[in-house]
Amino acid sequence: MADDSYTFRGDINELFRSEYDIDLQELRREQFVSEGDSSEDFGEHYRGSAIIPAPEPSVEPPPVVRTSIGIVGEALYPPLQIVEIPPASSDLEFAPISLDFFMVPEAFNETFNSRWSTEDLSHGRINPIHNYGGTQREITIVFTLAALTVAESRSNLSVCQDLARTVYGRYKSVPLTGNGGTATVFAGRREFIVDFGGLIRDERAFINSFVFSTDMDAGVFDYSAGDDTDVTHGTSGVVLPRAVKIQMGLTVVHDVLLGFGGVLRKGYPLRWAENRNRDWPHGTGEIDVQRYMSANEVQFYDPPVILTNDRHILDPEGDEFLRRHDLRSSTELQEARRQNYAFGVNPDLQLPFPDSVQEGD
Amino acid sequence: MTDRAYMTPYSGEDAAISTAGWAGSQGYVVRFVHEPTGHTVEFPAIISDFADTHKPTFGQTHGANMHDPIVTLTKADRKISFALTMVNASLQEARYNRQCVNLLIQMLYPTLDNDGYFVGKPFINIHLMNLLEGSQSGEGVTCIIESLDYSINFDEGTLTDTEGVIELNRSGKEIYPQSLAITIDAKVVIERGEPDAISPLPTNYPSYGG
Repeated sequence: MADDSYTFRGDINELFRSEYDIDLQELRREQFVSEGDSSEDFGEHYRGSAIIPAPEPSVEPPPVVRTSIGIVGEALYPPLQIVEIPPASSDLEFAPISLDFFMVPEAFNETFNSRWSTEDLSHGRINPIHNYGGTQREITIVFTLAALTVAESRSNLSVCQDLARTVYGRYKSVPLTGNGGTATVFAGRREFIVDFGGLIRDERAFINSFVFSTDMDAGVFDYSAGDDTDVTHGTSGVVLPRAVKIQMGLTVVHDVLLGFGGVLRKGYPLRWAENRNRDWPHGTGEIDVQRYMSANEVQFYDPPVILTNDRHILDPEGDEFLRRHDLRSSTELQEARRQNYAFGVNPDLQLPFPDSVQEGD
Repeated sequence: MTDRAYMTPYSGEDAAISTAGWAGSQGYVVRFVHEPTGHTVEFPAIISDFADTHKPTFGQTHGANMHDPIVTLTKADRKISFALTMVNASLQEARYNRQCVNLLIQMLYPTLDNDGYFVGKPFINIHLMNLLEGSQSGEGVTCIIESLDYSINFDEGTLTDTEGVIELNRSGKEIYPQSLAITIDAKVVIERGEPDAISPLPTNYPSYGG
């Protein structure tokens, strides 16, 4: 393999690792140490130049996880991010469901339904009276989570578990008067901030449907006594599919009253109500917005821009590798997003991790 | 310069290899006008499944010793439906087309007053060559779009750009479909003819160009 194969970052490194690569890596290490630096500095040296070193040859490499998604999903598509919004007023423990993962989309469907009612007044009248009630937006997205390895399949199932729970509501404990006990009561639906590249951009939504299906034609990972390997697992009676298909429905709840003119566009009745100087509903990249979408001189609504983390650099030796589940609760970015949302209308809010912006690879 | 948008089919540097070029030379254009604001958007008319349904509604009264009811016509409705396919030949065209589609979607929303109340109902004038054309004006017909379905089939391929503007697409990955299907279901507001005519309908209604 060519020397520059090491410029691959993240999981792709794992896929292309070979004995030859490891020999080459060892050669580089020796060369580096002979130049007077310690072997410990080697990793930092290469990391600093955006090259992730392969692990020690003597160390058993970690299982290859997210390789297929790394190749296809991460290379081609933006991540799907679903971050639960904390309850507006609650002093109870909050266990959010928040996910941030790559997948291979199959279909994206967005429906805008206008609510119209009609009044028929008399026979022979050409047109009834049409009354407009509003427009609703729903999104359906179908995607595949594919697995090249057992570990990746387990990880995918973990993601599916979390996704499935998004359709169920919240519950909370309330104190009972008199006996000092508590009762569990239903606390309503869960709401999320959802982002998927330019197609869904930080929209507030709730999940209205979730369908999990396994693609058995793609096969499963078989059991083999012993520990898990890349292609066999050691738990008898467990089905680990190589591909699962997910269909999710989202109902979008907009924070701003949509239309032309409105509270944020006083004096500009033909401009889009949102007044954010961005296209809506879908992003359009590096072309200017149309004039009717441009912001007024005075911008009334300026929600914070939520920045992406440096997701594309994943250290195979790091603690976060393999453990997407842990990543969910520990990622600083997601905590920042929750905080941002809670104080979203505060223009003075400082993002806690402004340096974590990572341009697309 | 006015705030009123008028977006025509893509005419950028890649237009020669685009469907927009062919559509323009043939005059195959579908036009949508948001009546409360006058915003206008036009697309190359790659149309499929066009249907124009004229449906009468009857009341029935059944009498004794009668097989056939007494039927009373109460009204006739007109509905249209069609699928519009957008094809992107280049990243530049994809970006422009997305703005056009955005405007079409926005047309489903009303105008608002300064207090945030709905003012102008989102009536949309649709002109689809001679297939959907006003009988008298030659412009389109006023419609109520009840449902607009925006559908991407990723199997047909995508155009991506990793150099996106971070504020607009913070993943840094723009993603555009090679083709995009927009399905529209709408009610037609029926035109009125001359005021002193016997029938309130225009004489050449519904005007298919025959």
